[in-house]
Amino acid sequence: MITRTKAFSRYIGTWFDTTDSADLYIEACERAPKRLAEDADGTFHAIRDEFAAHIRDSSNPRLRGSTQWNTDEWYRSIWYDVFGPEAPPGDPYPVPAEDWGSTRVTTYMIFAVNDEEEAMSDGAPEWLAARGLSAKAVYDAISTATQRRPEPADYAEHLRRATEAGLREEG
Amino acid sequence: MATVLGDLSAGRATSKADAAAHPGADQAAIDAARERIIAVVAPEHRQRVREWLSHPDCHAVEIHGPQVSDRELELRAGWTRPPDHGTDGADKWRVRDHDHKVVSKHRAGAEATRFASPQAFAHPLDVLLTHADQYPGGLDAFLDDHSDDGAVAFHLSATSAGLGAGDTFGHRGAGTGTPEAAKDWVQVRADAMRKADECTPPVRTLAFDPIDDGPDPGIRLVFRERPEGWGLTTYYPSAVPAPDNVRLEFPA
Repeated sequence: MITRTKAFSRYIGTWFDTTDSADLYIEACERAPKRLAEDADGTFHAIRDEFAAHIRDSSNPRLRGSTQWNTDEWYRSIWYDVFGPEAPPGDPYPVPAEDWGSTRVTTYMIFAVNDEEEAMSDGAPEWLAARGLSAKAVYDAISTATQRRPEPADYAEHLRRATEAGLREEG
Repeated sequence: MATVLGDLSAGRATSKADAAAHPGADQAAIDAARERIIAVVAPEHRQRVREWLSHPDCHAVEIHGPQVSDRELELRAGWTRPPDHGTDGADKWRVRDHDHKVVSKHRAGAEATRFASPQAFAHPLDVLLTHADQYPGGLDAFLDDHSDDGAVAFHLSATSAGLGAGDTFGHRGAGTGTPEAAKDWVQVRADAMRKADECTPPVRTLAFDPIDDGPDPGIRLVFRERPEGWGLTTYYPSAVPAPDNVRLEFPA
């Protein structure tokens, strides 16, 4: 099993809670390209690799009140917000690229993207460009995107296999 | 918060017009609240807490202080209107005249909370500082050792913080009991904010006591490393720790 490292845990625990405010979340998304570019000792790449592995193996602890599938989906959306449109390596259930910003909106889109420049985060134009999205399309999607991907038919089997292979804890 | 699954139809809706009409905050009231908080901090921590709470990047008193009214919390959760609206450092939240869209960069989540008294605000800071003073290397080492990229977030348990029922208060979105439901609620709110005129369905909020009603309550503290050293940026009562939040449990 991929050990949940302190570095990864700190990363998630520091930046991605939006219960009170999305400021840190937005900042983390906008800072990620710079952190990857300036990552001389490789620590941020290691966080990214671990992020992908936990999605692949469904080995993130379940969010409070949530299912393992919805927990996986929560991390997939953060991955997109932070690292961009390419699905994490090895993801057994990659989100179709065309869903993002059309039928599936993310926390970054909801809080940082607007059709008014005045209400848009300063880093949003760059963030949108890196994902091939337009502000208007994302803004419109917030009114219409209500779909949540249902748990795939073979998901229980995926969990069973990953658990048996020792990639994740039981439950 | 299993009970909140059924509370979608409960709570109360406010209108954009209500939010727009609410009077602005009084800077003098904010400053007075800060002084009342500092006055009940332990003398050995007072100077540091004063520096933290007076820094322009810290909005803990402005957004979560005891001077914030019930109504201001309701409007923050409902329409992201900041409680310090109208003061110099506040977000310029507004409802635009011609189409009634909300325009703001105040990225409020689904919960808006405050400390009910200067004592409730001050005491957890004393607890944290007392603990950090005993940490090898002191406060700076304590923050360095728990940080990622110049930021650190703690969940100080309510028991350790010495807070109980009545020490905190808040408004939260109705029906936000799971992470998915909370995100849906925030999306509905975002849609309502962007719609012209008044919206349907209304976004409803409920009053709650984060410490008394929360399943694993505590205080969330966020520090940032600035050129001049570590400082507090935000600080608020929270019903549950965030995923992977660094938990602080200190013996009383």
